[in-house]
Amino acid sequence: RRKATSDQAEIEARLESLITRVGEKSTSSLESNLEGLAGVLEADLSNYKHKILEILCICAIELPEKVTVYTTLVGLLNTKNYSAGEELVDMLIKQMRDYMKHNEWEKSQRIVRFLSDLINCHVVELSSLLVLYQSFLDASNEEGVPQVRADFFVYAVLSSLPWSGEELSESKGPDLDKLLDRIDKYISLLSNALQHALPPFTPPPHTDECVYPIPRVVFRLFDATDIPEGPALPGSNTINRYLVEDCLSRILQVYLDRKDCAAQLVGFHAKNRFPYHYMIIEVVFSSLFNLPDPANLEVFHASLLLELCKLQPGFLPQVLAQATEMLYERVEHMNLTCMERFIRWFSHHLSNFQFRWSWDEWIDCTEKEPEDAKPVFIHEVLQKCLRLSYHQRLVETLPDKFEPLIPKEPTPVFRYIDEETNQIPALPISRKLIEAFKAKATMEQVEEILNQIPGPKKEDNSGEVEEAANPLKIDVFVQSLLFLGQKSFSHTFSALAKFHPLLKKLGNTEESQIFMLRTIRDLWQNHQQMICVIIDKLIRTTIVSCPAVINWIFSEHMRVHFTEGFVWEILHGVLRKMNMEVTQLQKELEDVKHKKSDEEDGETSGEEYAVSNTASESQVEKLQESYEAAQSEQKNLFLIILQRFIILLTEHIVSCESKGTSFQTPWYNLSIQRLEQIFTLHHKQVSKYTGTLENLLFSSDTDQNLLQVYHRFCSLRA
Amino acid sequence: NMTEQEKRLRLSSTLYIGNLSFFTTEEQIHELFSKCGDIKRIIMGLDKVKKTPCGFCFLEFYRREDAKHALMYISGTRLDDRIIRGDWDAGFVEGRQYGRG
Repeated sequence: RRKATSDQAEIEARLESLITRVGEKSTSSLESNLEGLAGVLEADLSNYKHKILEILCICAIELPEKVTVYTTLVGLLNTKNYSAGEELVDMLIKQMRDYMKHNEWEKSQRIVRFLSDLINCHVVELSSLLVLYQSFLDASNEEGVPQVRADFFVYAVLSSLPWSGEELSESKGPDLDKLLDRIDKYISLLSNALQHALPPFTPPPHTDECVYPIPRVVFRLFDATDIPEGPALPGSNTINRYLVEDCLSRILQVYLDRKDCAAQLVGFHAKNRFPYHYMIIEVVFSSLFNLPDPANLEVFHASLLLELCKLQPGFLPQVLAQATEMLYERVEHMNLTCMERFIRWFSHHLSNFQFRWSWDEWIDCTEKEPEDAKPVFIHEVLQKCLRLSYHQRLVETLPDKFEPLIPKEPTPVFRYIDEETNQIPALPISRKLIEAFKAKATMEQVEEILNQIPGPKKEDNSGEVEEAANPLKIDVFVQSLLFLGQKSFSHTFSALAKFHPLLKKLGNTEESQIFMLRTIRDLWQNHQQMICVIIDKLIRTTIVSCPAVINWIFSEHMRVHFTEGFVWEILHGVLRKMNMEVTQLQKELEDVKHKKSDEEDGETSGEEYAVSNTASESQVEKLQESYEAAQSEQKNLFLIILQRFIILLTEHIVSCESKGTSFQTPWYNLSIQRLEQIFTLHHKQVSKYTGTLENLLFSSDTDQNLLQVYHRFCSLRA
Repeated sequence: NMTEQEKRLRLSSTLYIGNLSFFTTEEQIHELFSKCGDIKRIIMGLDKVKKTPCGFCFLEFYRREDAKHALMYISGTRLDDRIIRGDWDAGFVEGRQYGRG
């Protein structure tokens, strides 16, 4: 019996491999491979019908770039075994409904496309496909459903028409006739087959739980004039451009291994008919710049582009350089979130090519106003390059004229070092502290030195005297400690860990935590990465709170940095940590609840049951509490950020208007995009709070410019 | 014990990164790999005698998924002009940072 099962598993694995790999490199033609495979499958249908149909169903969804290969295979099978064809069609319809119910819209769309192509193989009746399309269009006509739902159903039909349109339209041009003649010989084999009617299908109704695909922007980088020679690039709005883009972008979604993906892209079957290097680059950038999130993991794009350059060193680096040049020229008009992805990709890419670039051609940017888009872009790129390299290297690599744009050397700016004048208060304390740190003094000894600084006292309501936040104390201690730990992140982290209790004590209010953050920025003002990682550490070790960091970012002290990239790296880092905590707690809570209900359903009886039940009861309660606390903390953070934005931007607008100047300054344009970015990058979280936001922040009193940003965000789901 | 070791490897979020330049700093490694996710800690491999970096490090992520992406998308690319290589590690134990230099 065991032998039989393992034989069966082996055959099933072999079938899967045969089916999934058909159409890959082979010495014989695809047609003969498919006929051969259909013969093999026909023989196995009697014993393995369900498995075979299941594999075909998976291929239809997971290997969409081979859609025509599998529809042809199904066509061949259908001529040999009519009931198998019928079962497969039923299976696909059922699968499509399930996907729709589970908000997997894209997968359901792939099935529509597969069914559409099945009319070409005489598996599905033309008229029943029309009925299916009709039901989709009916669904898009329903009243009281969001636009995004209607969009989906219309798009699903439209994007299937390239497969079924010719057959559906009766006007076949002479070109099409020629093409059909060639295919006819092969297809004539299928033409006598009996066809199936699609089972009746009604899309599942709209409910509040439905989450539809977010509206997408069609991304076009190149046009025909950008391409010097070879086959012409199809126009931006042509079906050909759409189809090639569609195939290439699906390869990006399916092949997550960078080497496989690069090989599939350059091996694209129709490559000789298109300037495919250009189309590959366009598709990779389209995925990277997709909003709100990149279509793939962000780092995947950099990695894939490196692989593509390695695979086709004679072509791809040039096309990529041309694309980069075009993006740079348009950087002024680029969405800020996309620009940041561009900066991260470009600096990462450069670090793999010794930072070599035709820098001289960009020298014009050094003559522009420093707040212009191009110099800002270059400066941010160099900030990132510095982190992946070192200062001297950049100075040596870049033309001299770039000097003003190269970040300063990332060394600490220590306040307590002026040996000459001794004018700095608390300088002796700092020296004593450093000696004590070096002598590995205890926490008490260090605190004793620190207490030589008199602190401002304040009386609270009860008349008791308590120590107020003491900026000088915080400054001397934190600067001296971090100055001594400057050698590396590890040194800094271990210094922070060693004095964790003292840091907690010094930063016992939000006000004192903000002092601490100021001190850190002053010390490391030329080392943005250091500021980012220290703050990350301080949040994780609960020395500073998330609201303290946010309020520090919006404070007067940080006004000079407000539009710089690293500030937003910190802010989005704070939100990401918060979001992850909420997600983690939610998952734990669901797991525990799930386990509990399993136990209740299970056969556990008597005492054992009672004990485990009460244990999980309190566990659930505790988790529920932490989850709700984290959730309200998260909501609070978003409210603080949005409120601070509204105050800041409204003040700016009002003050410009009173002076009679335009409020649309470079600062404003960057800052309002930062507001927009909060919605873009955290759309899933913020969309939960729209009710509160409309009541508290984005009401009819709010400035129109800010309201617009909010309404654009809402329309993503409307 | 082989199975114990295998088990730890399967659950690990730690990578061994090799072929680093002796001059590559923790900061550079942090910047490159944090493209895949938040990093918990980096332990630089040190020369047993001189206590200077000697071309490898241990890199621990908070999440295993992120370490997997680091292997897929960073390992085999360049840092400081050298092609660096990553592999799963069963987890850092004190003493393992000292290499032969």
